[in-house]
Amino acid sequence: MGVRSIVRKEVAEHLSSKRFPLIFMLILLSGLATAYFGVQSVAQARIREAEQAITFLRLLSGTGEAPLPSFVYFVGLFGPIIGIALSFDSINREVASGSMLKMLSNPIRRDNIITGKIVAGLLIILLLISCATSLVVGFVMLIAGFGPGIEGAFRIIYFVLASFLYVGLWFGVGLLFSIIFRRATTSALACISLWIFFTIFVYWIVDIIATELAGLRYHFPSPPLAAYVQYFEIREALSRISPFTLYAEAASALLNPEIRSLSIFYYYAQDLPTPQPLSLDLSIVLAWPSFSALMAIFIIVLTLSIVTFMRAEVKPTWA
Amino acid sequence: MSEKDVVIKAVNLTKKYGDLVAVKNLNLEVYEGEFFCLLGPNGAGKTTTFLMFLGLTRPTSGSAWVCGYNVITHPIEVRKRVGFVPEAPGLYDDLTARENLTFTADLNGVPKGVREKKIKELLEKVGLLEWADEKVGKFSKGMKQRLAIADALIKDPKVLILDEPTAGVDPTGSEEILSLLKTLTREEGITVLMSSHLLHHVEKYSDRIAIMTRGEIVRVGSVSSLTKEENVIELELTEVDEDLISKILELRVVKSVERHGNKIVIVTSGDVREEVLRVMSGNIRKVLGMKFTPSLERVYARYVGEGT
Repeated sequence: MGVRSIVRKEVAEHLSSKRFPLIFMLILLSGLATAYFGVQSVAQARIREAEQAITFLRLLSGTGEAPLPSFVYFVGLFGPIIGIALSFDSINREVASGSMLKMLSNPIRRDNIITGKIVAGLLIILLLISCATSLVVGFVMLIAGFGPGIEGAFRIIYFVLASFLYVGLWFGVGLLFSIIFRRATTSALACISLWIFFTIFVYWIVDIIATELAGLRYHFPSPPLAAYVQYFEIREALSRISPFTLYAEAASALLNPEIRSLSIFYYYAQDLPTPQPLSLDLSIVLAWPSFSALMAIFIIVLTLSIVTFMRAEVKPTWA
Repeated sequence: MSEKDVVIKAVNLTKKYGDLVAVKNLNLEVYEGEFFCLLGPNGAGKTTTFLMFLGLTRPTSGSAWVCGYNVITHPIEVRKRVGFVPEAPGLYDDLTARENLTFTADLNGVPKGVREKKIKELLEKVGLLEWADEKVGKFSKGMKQRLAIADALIKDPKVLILDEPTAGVDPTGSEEILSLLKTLTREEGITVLMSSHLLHHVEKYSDRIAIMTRGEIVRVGSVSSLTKEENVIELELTEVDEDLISKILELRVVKSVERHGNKIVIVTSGDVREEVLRVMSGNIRKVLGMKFTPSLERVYARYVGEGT
C-alpha cells in the first residue's frame, strides 16, 4: 500500500516536472545527431545486403570514421546527468519543505518511502532510455533504409539494459547525496564533481600513473614496445574504476558484433585479414565482466542510499 | 479524570542528541477531547517531544503511550490515530489542494469509494472548497496551515498534533486556525495538542497549558489556574502617600507595589482586591478606578526567564 502510493506520486511528479522534457531532449538530440551523421558517412559507401545489420549497429555504437561520437558515447557522457537530475534533491527537498515529516507521520514504514522513490526513479529511467533508443533506431531505419535484423534487435535490448544500469547507478549516487547533504545545491555540486571526475579527470590521472609505472619517461625518447604494451595495459585496467569505461565497454561490446576483444589486443584484432563478427552469445560473454561490474556498482550505490536513509534520525530540524 | 481518558501519556521521556539534552524527564498526561497547549521558547524541545509522540524519534530513555499504544513498539498503530501538522506545513506546491489530500488519503489507505466525498467534506470544513483545484503554491500561509489540518484529518484521527500552527500567520488567519481547532475538540471530540510561543492565542483557546523550557516542563495547569498566579491590580486614586503603599505591601500575597503619580500598580499572586480596599477604608482617599488583570505573560516570563 505504502510503496505503491509513493511510486504513483513520484512518477507523477517526475513526469510533470520541468526537468523531464529537458533531459529527454538532451538525450534524444544527441542520439539523433549521431545517427544522422553516422548515416551520412555510411551513405557514401556501398553497403552489401549481408553487411546491413552490422552497419546498422555500428551506427549506434560508433565508427572510426563518423565525425561525431556515437550514441553509446553520448549516453555514457550525458546518462549520468539524467540520473542525477532525477534524484539529487529527492530527499533533501522533501525534508526542507516538511513534506517528509508529514509523509512519515502517516502509517507507513520508512523503507516504503525510499523504496518507492527508487522504483519510481528507475521506472522513469527505463522509460526515458527505451523511448530515446527506439526513436533513434526508428530514425536511423528511416534514413538508412534498412534495419538491425533480429539479432541486432536483441543486441539493442541488451544495450538498453546496460544503459539502464549505468544511468540507474548515477541516480543512486544522486539519491545518496540528497540524503547526506541538507541543501539541494550542495548535493547537485557534489554529483556534478563526481561526474566530471569520472568522465574526465580520472583518465588524466590514470594516464599519468600508467606513464610513470610503465617507465615511458624513463625510456624517453624511444621506449621499447614492451613498455608501450605495459602502459596500455595499466591504463586500461585503471580506467575501469570509472563507470564510464565499464559502460562504454559493455554497451559497445553488446551492440557491435565486430568488437572481438575489449583489451589492447582489440587493436591488433582489427588488423586481422577477415575478422569474423561475433555471435550474440559471445558478445555477451565479452561484455559480461564490465556488465556485472556495472550491476555491482548499481546495487552497492542503491543499497548505500537505502541504509543511509534508514539510519538517518528524524530531527526537529526536519520540521 | 479517570485513567481511561488519558490519550497521551509520557513517563520520564528523555531525548539526548549527543551532549545536548533536548527533552529531560518529561511527564505529561493529556486527556481526551482536550485543547492542550505546549508553551515555550524556540529550542525548548517541543518539536522533539512531538516527534517522540509520533514514534518518529526514539527516546533515549523513558516512554510514551498515545491512544494506548506504546510509541516505541507500535509506531504504526499510533500514526494511524494521530494527525500531525509540522511547522512547515509540508504540502506539495505544484499539486492542487485536492491532489495533496488525495496523496495523503492514498498513504492512509482510505478506500477509493469514499475518498472524493471525504476530501470535499474536509475542504469545506477548513473553508477551502472553492480553492480545491488551485495549486497550493498560490496559497497564503494561513490557507496552507488550514489545508494541512484538513490533510491531517483525512485519517479520522483521535489526536491532532500541531507544531506552531500559527507561526508566520497574520492575526485573522491565526484566529481562524485556532477557532477551527476549538471546533474540532468541541464537536468531534478530537484531542488537540499544539505548541506555540504566542501567549495571547493560547490563553483564549486552550483548556490546559504546559510551560516548557530547556527540555523540561516547568508548569502544567488550566489556563485559569495558571493565570491566577500572577495578577496585576491597577489603582487610580485622588491622592497617594507612602504610608498606603507600605500598608499594601504588608498584605499576604502582594509581591511589589509601584507608584506612578496618582496610580499604583500592585503585582500579586492572588486576588486581593478586597484587602486592598479594606486598607484604604477609613481614609478620605477616593478610588477613581481599579483594574484587575490576571497575566499569563507574567507567569510565562517567571518560568522561562529573560531568554524569551
